[in-house]
Amino acid sequence: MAVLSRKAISNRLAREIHELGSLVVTPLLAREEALDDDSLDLRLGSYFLLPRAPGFPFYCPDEQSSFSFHTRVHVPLGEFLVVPAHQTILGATLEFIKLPHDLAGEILTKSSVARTFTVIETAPWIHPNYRGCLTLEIANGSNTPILLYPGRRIGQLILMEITDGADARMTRSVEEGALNSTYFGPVFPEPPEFKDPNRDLKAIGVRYIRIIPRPQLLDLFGRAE
Amino acid sequence: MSDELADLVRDAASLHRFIASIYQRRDQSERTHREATVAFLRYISDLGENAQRFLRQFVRRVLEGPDDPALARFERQGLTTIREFWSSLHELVRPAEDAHTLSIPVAFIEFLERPLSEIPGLEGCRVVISHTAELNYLQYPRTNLRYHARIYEGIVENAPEFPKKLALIAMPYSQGASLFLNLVICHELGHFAFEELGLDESLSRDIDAALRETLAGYATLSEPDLSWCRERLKYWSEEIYCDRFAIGLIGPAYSFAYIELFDIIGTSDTDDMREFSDTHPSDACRFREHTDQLLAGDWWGFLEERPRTSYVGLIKKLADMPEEDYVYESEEKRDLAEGVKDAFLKLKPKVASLVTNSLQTKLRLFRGDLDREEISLVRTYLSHGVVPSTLVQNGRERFPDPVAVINAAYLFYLESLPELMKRIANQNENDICHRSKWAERLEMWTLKALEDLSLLSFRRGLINGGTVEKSNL
Repeated sequence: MAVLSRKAISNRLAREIHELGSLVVTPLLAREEALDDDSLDLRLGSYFLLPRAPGFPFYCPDEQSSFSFHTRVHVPLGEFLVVPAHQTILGATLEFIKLPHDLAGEILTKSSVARTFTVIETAPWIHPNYRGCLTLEIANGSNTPILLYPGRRIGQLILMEITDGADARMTRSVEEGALNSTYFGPVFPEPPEFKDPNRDLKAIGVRYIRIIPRPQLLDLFGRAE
Repeated sequence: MSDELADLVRDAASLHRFIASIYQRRDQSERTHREATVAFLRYISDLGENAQRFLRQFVRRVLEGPDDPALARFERQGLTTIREFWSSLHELVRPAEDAHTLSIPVAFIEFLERPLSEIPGLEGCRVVISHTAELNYLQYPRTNLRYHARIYEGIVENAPEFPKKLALIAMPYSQGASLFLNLVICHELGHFAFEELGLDESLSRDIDAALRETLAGYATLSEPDLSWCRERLKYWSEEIYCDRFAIGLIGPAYSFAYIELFDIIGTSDTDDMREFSDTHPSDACRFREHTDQLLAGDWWGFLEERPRTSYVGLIKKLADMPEEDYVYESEEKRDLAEGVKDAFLKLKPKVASLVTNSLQTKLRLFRGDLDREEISLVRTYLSHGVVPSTLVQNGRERFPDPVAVINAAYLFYLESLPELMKRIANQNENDICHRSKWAERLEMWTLKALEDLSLLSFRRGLINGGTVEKSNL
């Protein structure tokens, strides 16, 4: 895998959408400063998901959990969001990205941001053919609250050419049914999507799965609501 | 203390509390609002504080004065005026607060506000969106509010002035995330322009001339009958003005949204299409006006090149319905109905010219091959599941005009959604859950494109999304 240079990134950005290998990053503001020798700066978008108490004594990553764990927040450009010390939130890049079939990407925290002990990614890898604004798992690891301004540079996108990019399976990207529908094309940070643990585990042959039932509200006679 | 005075003090306290219940119940959540809404809510807060201060001074003054029941009754009228004004504001405050930036199509509203605020006579106007429980869009007329505000400002010293040029538009609370149905907001902005520019005044002479021509007994009509006739023509004219205004702003996408919102496809074969109501012209008549405006804006030829969408055929079918077939039956004024309808048909060209005059350079005409090319490119981007804000063609970047983006997206939705779905694994175009998911995504991408274009136009000094090509590095 080779890391794409500034020139190679520019070359990819200049390809038409239907051409193999076309890369899209939009809006690419202040392009000259955004492009580095081996990476592309990305900015923080205006939408966030703030974690909230799940309403149960635990959080179980299952099919029902996706929308119960977060509150959506919009912070317009010019405003800021306070991330308390040792807290985590989900954000997204301002830029919508479309990777071609032969490029994978990795998003890294910009070094200046990282030095405030803010981390923006725990799942930094971006698969070929991905499209959407990148969801960022932002964690303030410092001891002080930190202000985040949407629109400011927050991450660096490193692009890598997949050496076996001509693989027949991968070039199907422009053909029928080639793109994965999970996390396809988000423009806001998206909550995680999970299958129920029993579905995941049965698929690999696990026979007994411990499930904790969600607590129910009972009336005085012990009847469920 | 006399009973009158005691009542007065009690009523002042009740009003004090009523005002607080409206303006002090500000939400402390993380919700944000557009600038126009913030300004409107700030006006309400300032007005509330001022009113409460006034009421405290009022009670002090009354208690220090003579205990005169007649004077107390006189003073009471002031409280009634204050209560009336706050009662009309009551309708607006919570719905405006509910319409925070996560529950309205912000990028679209921002896009509309720009050309609207540059129309001569509407300079600097702002749009406040609020929610309504109705599945409809409406503009709160401000003439009444302003009238009450003036009287109020005469009673309450130093009351902040009611904001000028504020379009108060309500949209269904359920449609926050969507774009296409919300295009109908353009029609409501037409109502705002009609009211703000005083166009009913401009039309009044033409209305009388049309009635004189078509009503045989015009000279002998009683004043109530004449007012009734004028009112019909005013309502109908305003409606077609607003339709034309909307098309003038965003092109044919408005007609598509109208068809979808009012389920015109489902009812197009019924007699309802021909029937005028007391407040609205028939749909057939309205679509004739749509077609006429689309022709005037050079959009119609482009639409005729699109046989794949049934919407264009439907517009044509309704527009082609002969005017003689239009029906207006009024229970109230049976004898006048036909003549009034005929007068309206004579008046229509005047309304059309009002739209051209008010929009002037903001009238969005079809730009020929430039629009054809942009619309086609935007559709290609959408079919790849990509936000169409930066387009590449022949190695060069271009930034499409927002109106081209909106129309391209709507046409894509009507004609080609399966093109996108077939690229994505396990998606069935006949599965309505799959289809609605991608329709929702399509609207999100379009709104994101409008947001991006606003940022890009700031960087590049574009005005209203005019197309600029830039060498790609």
